[in-house]
Amino acid sequence: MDIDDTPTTGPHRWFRLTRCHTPTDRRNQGLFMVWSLAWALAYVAATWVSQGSALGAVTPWLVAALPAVLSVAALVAYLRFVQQADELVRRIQLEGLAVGFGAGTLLVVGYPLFAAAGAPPLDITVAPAVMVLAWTAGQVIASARYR
Amino acid sequence: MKSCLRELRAERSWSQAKLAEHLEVSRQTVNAIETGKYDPSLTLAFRIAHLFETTLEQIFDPHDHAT
Repeated sequence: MDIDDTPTTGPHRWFRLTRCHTPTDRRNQGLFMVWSLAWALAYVAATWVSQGSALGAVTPWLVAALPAVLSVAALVAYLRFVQQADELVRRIQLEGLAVGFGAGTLLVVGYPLFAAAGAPPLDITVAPAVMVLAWTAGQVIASARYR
Repeated sequence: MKSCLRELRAERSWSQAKLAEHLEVSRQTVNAIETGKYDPSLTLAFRIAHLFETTLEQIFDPHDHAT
């Protein structure tokens, strides 16, 4: 039985979750998560601020631009993660992305048929959430298969 | 693809983490190669052979492929 003797120094939960990854992968994943969190917070803030009435002419554009800029930073961080990732991690990411992209596409393309049949209308903003959840599930399933 | 990577590693009393460190890959990759669930890339296979100072054919059995 091969024991993973990688030291899990301290109670840091992030290290325990990624202790099978290389240090480069851990660093790059961490950066991607930081930029993603920054984008999510900026998006929520922008949504809240944009509902205000006294923003002037330029401010709404700046408010909309900030999360967009952060999303580009998150995308660049994710690309760097994938490009530098360990080859098995890269394969797992590919399978996760395939599931996420497929689920999102099926939802966007297929749900209108159900809506035409009488199903309640679906807000398009649900699609990204479905894609992210499916992407995560795809990664978990792929990772388990190689364990 | 079957391999004798586990045996080669045991000869040097290396853990999977230690071998992963030498190969600059994740421990997950080493484990997947040893269990035959993952076929390494040609680059990684050559690095493994070079690390253990042997040939690809001595390490990997090409007649049994993982998905």
